[in-house]
Amino acid sequence: MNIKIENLTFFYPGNKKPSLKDINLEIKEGEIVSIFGESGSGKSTLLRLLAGLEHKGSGTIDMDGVRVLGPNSFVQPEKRGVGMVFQDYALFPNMNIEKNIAFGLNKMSNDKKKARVKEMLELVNLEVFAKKYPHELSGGQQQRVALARALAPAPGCLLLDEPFSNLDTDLQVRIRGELKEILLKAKVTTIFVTHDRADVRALADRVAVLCEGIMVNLGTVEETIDQ
Amino acid sequence: MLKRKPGFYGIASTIIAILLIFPFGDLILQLFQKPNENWMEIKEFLLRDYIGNTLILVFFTALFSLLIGTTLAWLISAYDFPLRKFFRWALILPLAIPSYILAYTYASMSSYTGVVQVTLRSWLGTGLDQRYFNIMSMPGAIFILSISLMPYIYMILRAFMEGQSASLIESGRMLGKSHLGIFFKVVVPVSRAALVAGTSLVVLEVLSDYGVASYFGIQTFSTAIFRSWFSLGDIDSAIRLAAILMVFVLALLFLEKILRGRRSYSMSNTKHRPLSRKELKGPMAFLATSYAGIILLLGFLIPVGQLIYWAVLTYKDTLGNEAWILGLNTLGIAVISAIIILVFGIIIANYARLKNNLLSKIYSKISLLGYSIPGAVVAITMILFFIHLDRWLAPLYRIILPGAPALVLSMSLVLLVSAYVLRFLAVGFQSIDGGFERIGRKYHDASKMLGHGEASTFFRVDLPMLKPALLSGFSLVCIDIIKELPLALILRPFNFNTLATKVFDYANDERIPEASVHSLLIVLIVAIGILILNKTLDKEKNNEHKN
Ligand SMILES: Nc1ncnc2c1ncn2[C@@H]1O[C@H](COP(=O)(O)OP(=O)(O)O)[C@@H](O)[C@H]1O
Ligand SMILES: [Mg+2]
Repeated sequence: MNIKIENLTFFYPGNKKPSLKDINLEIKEGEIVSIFGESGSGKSTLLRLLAGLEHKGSGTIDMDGVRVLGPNSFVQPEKRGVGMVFQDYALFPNMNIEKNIAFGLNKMSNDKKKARVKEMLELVNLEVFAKKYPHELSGGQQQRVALARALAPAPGCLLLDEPFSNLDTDLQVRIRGELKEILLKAKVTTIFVTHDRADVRALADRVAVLCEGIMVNLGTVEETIDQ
Repeated sequence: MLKRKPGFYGIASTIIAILLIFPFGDLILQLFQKPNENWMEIKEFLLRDYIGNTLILVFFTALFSLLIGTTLAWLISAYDFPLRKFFRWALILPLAIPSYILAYTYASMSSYTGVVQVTLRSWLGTGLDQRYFNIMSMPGAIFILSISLMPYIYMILRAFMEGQSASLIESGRMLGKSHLGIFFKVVVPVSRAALVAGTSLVVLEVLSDYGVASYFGIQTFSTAIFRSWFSLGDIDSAIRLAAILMVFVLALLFLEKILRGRRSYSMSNTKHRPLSRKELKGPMAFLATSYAGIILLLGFLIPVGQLIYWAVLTYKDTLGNEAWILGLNTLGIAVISAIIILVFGIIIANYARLKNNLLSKIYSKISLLGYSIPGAVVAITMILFFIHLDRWLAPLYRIILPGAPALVLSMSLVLLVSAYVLRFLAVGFQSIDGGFERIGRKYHDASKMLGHGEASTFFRVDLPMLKPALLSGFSLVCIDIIKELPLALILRPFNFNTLATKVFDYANDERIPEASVHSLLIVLIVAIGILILNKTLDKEKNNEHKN
């Protein structure tokens, strides 16, 4: 998916200071882009606007040429073909792993759904956990389920909000490698938010650096954070 | 696609909010009419009594239920003594007896031919002098209301103490404070918000009481409103009294806000561990068990025992088809009202969760309004409004219901159900709102990101997780409605009775023993509801522990 953000500014209701100010960013099909910045710099807000979970921004967002946010247009999140992995995963606690992954596939026939769920479980190496419930899994396993669930409907773009922040340090290193593999296999345009340089180095093609809602730097890893 | 398409929840919430406040328009308009002579008389001679009696009743009932409720909650959550586990849930049971039934039962028991006087006469050869010991008096009313409303404070405080205050109490203990010291220096200040919430609940119930005050012949605002209207036919004065009562309620709500401070009280605090209890031995243990036992005896066992005794004597005449029909009427009204309330509550609470703007906050406040409005005021408001509505709809009636009487809606159950929805929406709304708060937004967002629209998300994600909250909201509303007296009494259609109105009729005919079967049916239904509720809440708390 090609994404184009132009002059995006966003205020949360009641805030005097904008959480995002005049953001311009273009992302090409298949790219892995990292949004990097300190806590409170507006990273999650940018993701939520891309996802369609916030809609009061000024400026525009286009996805594959479709205006999903603009003065007179807004495409609902469920219509955007965008997948998202939440910081705390948000796995539905009342559904088992299989059902969680199948949740985004409601338009498929049952056979196709089954096949797709199996494929996803294999992708993240969790076949044996299909019938378990989220709280019976470790943090790393939950994270992989969240990833499988987001990828199952084959979204044009995947959004990840601090995908490793809830994991132990040892696990973070391992999962970074796994994630890269999975993303390359799935060939999906990816935007991920992090405040950890190691994440960026391991995964990103390009980096956008945010500071207090302003994009202060944009480029390859070498051009930006390694300086 | 249009950018700001007004959503379903926004429109539906707006309609509900308008429905809720619209009826009060008539009431307020009437206030600006010129007062009549009767009102002058009330103002000059009676108003002082109404205000005085109401304030005395409110103050002492609040004081005693606060005393009893707090000490019991502290005893149960901080100490171990014989039968503690049993008392923990049993002390909620007085809530199952509506206060007017408690009043009738005690009044009858202590009358000249009642069990108390007869027993005393046969033991001591002389009864208590009715001049000094007359339960049908102000102190008697305070006793009845305190005992029957005390569980509100007990429950709220117990939940609070078993929950979030554990660590505070324990740190107090580490600092070497005595138990009593901890109670006054740590528990009371920390639980201030919970105490204020419980107390204002009790005060609102007292302001709403009609059954106890009218039977004991105490002139309060509620009884005065009903008397002006139904005995004297003076609607105008009834409305003015209602308005003054509302001023008191508003003052109370304002006071509550100040006393609560900035900390809002919430039962659903995340992680908590039970307080480790101190074991009582010897005389102290005996004292604790006796104290809890006496309250349970007075608030539940004695009156229920008396009701059962009367029921055995009278059931042949009173437990007929009619009793079952009344039971079904009561349950039917409760269930219908509760379902409407849950639907309204879900819409407004979900709108508040998704939008969280000024408008949605106002709507939430409006849905909480009804519970603060005493039954007498709700009754007047709804009658005025529905008569107006009927007049307004008259042309329509002539077309679709030729030959119908002039008043259609005001003569139907629609009136009573509407009043219940207005008055008890807050109860359902609060459960649902708490449920949504616990779920949060993230599952909703996740579902939308997976391609599900608003409706599908609601039914597949939110509703299943909301089930415990819905269940407790439903039970709470049903319990309140089944116990409710004044609204049922005044707003029911001709020839329609509920268990509560039947009990009232019997009591008015001085045939209290004959009311026992109907009273017991109420107590039984409500007790079952309360116990189910208690179980679900406990289970929910345990689940939270595991997560
Ligand atoms: N729901 C909200 N309401 C008001 N302000 C918010 C809300 N969420 C975030 N903010 C503010 O917006 C800014 C950016 O927040 P966020 O995007 O969450 O930052 P990050 O993800 O980089 O930590 C912060 O200043 C934060 O306080
Ligand atoms: Mg963030």
